[in-house]
Amino acid sequence: MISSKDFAVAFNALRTHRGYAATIIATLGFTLGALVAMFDLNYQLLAAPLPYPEQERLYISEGNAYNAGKVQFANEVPYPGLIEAYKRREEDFERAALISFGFDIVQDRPDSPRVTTSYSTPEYFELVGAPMALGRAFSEAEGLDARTPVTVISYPAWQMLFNGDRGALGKTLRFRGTDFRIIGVTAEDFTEPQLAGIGRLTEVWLPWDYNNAFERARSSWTRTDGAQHLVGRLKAGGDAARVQQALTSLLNGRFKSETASQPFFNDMTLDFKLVPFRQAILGDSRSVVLLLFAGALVLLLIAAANVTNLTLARAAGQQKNMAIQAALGAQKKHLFLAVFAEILLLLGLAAALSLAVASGGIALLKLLAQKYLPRLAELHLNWPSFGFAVLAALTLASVFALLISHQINYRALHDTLKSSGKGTGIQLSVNVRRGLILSQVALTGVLLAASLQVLTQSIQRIAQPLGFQTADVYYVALNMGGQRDAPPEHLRNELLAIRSELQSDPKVVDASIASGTPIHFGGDAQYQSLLSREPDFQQQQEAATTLVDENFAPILGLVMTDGQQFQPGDVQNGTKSLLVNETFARNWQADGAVLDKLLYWRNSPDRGQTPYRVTGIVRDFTLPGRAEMPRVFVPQIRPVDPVLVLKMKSGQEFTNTELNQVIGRINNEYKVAMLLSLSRAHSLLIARDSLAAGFTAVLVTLAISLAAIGIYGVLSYTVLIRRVELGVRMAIGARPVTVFMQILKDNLVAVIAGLVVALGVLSALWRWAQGHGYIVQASLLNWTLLVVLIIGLTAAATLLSVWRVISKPVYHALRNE
Amino acid sequence: MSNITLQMRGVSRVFGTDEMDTYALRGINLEIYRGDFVSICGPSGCGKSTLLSILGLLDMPTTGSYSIEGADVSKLSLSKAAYLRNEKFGFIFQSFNLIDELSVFDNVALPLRYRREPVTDIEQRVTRCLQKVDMSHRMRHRPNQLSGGQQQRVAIARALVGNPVVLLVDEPTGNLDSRTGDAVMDMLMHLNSEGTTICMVTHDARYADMASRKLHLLDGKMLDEHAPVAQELRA
Repeated sequence: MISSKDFAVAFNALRTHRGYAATIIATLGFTLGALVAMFDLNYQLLAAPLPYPEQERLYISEGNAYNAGKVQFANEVPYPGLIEAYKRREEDFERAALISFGFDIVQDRPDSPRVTTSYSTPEYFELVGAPMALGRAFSEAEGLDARTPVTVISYPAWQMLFNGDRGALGKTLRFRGTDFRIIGVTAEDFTEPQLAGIGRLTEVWLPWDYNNAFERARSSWTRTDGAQHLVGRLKAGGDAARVQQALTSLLNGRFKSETASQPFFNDMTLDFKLVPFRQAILGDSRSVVLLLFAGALVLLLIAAANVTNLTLARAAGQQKNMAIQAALGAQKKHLFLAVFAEILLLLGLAAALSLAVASGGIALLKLLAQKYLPRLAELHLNWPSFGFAVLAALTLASVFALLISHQINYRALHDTLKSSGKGTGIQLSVNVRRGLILSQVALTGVLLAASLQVLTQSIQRIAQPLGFQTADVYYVALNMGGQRDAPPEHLRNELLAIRSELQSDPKVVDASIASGTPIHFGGDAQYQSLLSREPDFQQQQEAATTLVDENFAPILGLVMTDGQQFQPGDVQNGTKSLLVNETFARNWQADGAVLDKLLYWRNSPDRGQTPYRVTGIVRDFTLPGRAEMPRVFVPQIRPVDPVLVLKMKSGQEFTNTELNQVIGRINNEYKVAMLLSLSRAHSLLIARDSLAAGFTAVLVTLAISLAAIGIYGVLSYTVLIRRVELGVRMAIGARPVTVFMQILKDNLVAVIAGLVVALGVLSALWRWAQGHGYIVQASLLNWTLLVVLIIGLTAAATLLSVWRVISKPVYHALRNE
Repeated sequence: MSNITLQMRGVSRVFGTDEMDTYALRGINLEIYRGDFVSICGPSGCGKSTLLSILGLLDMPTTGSYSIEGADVSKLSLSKAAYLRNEKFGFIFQSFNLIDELSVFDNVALPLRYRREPVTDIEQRVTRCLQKVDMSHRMRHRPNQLSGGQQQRVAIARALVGNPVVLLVDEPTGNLDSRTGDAVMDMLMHLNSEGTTICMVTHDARYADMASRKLHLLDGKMLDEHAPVAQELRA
């Protein structure tokens, strides 16, 4: 048994070897801390129960429409089908609710703030056990078809809109011309299930009746609006598979009967899946968090190899003490306990440091990764993580101690006292030493290569030009309020008047009306439409379609590779001309020479009867991380949900309130729904890459540091046990540089072998990635950099470890000093 | 032409720590002539090994001057010292100090490889030296496959292969039985008779007497070479 005396002796010994102790505590503390943080993350996402009542029985619906067996429309259920499923909920669910997700603007505020909205029936709040800070949730009186304009707001929205004023209850918020009375505020500690995407949290709940589905869609079995779901708690003992089969059968049957007269839907079928809340919240994050855990584990393995080298070097230096103890009667188990006590002390301190590091890591994750990983708000160090840290530390301590004691040749220790220093009772074989270096280099090589690859790709994406201007260019989405249903011609004239007002503003260079921009808040999702060379649309091409005026191309700085931009009057006159991008042109004709060719557009005012002429070809955009899609630009003003594109004078910008004032001169109903600079949109698009770049830069630095420590550890051990031999070589004429080259050459074999193993592992990983559809470009430059880095590290570590031998008179080495 | 191979004047070696200075050698004056067989004797801790280390440029004197064939070598860089050791000296150690990973041939060849001699020359000279010590039949063996006496003979061959000016020998028989030790001493005597200059540290009076000159050290000082040792000790 280890006694307190063993620990006291160990503590005193470590006090005189502070550098050694600090290196081990720091190395293991940081890497174990990273692993504990990743364990905590994995536990939270994959194992910890959701913070809702009976969470294992909570499901959310997901419907798909299939055409000839392939998914035609994903995650869309016909509105009436969803209502039917809700109305028969008591057959299968203990409790169920309808929910839909969207966003809206608060119309009665001068800055028309944009808020995320959810539209639900009252059962939702009980399902998720939402605690309230003020007031109450929806009641049955505010359920389906009640059309009661009330609202529940979130705690952050309460702070943002009312500064936490308790008098907010009873006040109203106006959305789309209706005033909603605030009846409740959710509690600060309410953890809303992120069912609509990672990081998407509701600010305003409105009753289901006020959801933003189009009127036509509410009664149609063929039009879907997406983002509408049934959520529910199955009855105890209920079978989700049976329930979803029953609902699929019901909905599909109704769909078929409703669309029997429309041949287009003959081959289409619907299904109605029930997805567990955990799965819906987790999304595709499982592989990401597991990968993060694997990365942290690799780091810890590198650190463990380092520490092995260092502890072996220390043990070799302690052989005389061990020999004396053996001479005085210590058995092998006594020597083992002494070693174990010292290592346990070190690992205990490392474990304590690791918990602090893990806390910091968790705080950092919460700060930076809320948009990329779910449930981070619930993340904190917990008992399973604490237990994991202790178990990992104990395991490592046992492994290190066993490894060292295995290397102690108890019999040879006696010879140490007798001999003049030749040989040692604690010696690793050459093959084991080379194996340690090989494993160091292989692990580091894989980690560094993968990190450099991610870093390079992230930097490429961050740095690549988009192909259009973003500086001082702003995207303004307009909310039309009650004006939405006005005649289209009236709306177009109002939009033209608004554009005129903006063009005459001293802050503005120019203004454009469009249906969108290549990037905006939320990424680069575009409205798609179909085009064809023939009027029968037998062969058609889908293209991202943007309706624009003649100012759009100059403001965004679109580059024409052939033809010309739209002319003044094209929009006014309804000219049937189109601009296409290079990708669209090449898809149509291999040489891309499609200028002056005719195209039929499915969404034209006459539904594709009259062709459009291609009057210009636009250079492709290069959006980060994605291939360019086919695009067309049509000279037309879309009256509904329009976008204004503003080119501001340098350094000038609008606030929402200022813009609302300008626009309000034409019509007070119009409000700014979103104001976003394209530079900011670009930053949001590359945010993930920026985070990845930052993270991998830290990882690369950490990996290099660990590799340096590890390689130095094994080399210093090598030099220590070869000190007499090196002294002999120098005695018979080897110069200091010759000794250095000798050690370097001896170790380069293992280093090169390690690099070969790393290359093999990376090749296998690359083939796996290609086979699973991940595009990874192998980079010769990165690999060369890696090889140079590791060989450079080896040379530096060799010099550092051999310096104390070659920098002193030879007799020191001969006496093994 | 001067016959003096090695010359020391007023050489001292002080080992200092935070607490105290230890004088391993004090004011050593010494000449070793070509063809000499010099033994250096004295009780444990008298400074014999320190003196031998300085003679062989394994250590540097704290004060005083040391010259080899007339050239002052008191303050040399480590690299220059290594070069001179390779050119001028052959070392024979008490614990043989052969390198286990190398064969007998490669051990003996090592000094020549540090001089970057041509491969054919190395082969000839190594073979000749091993024949001289009667170890050519064990060329491919490793040192740990040989007896103590055989290892010491290989070490002698390694010391001779570079045609050294002086052989520096540190307790050559310390790890050998008396019969083997006698055989090694016979070999050294034979080498000296052929003209090899030898400087040997030993605490064995029998072997010390085999040398043509006997030097005595006591407490770091060189006693008068010609005075009876007993008198000096009493003094």
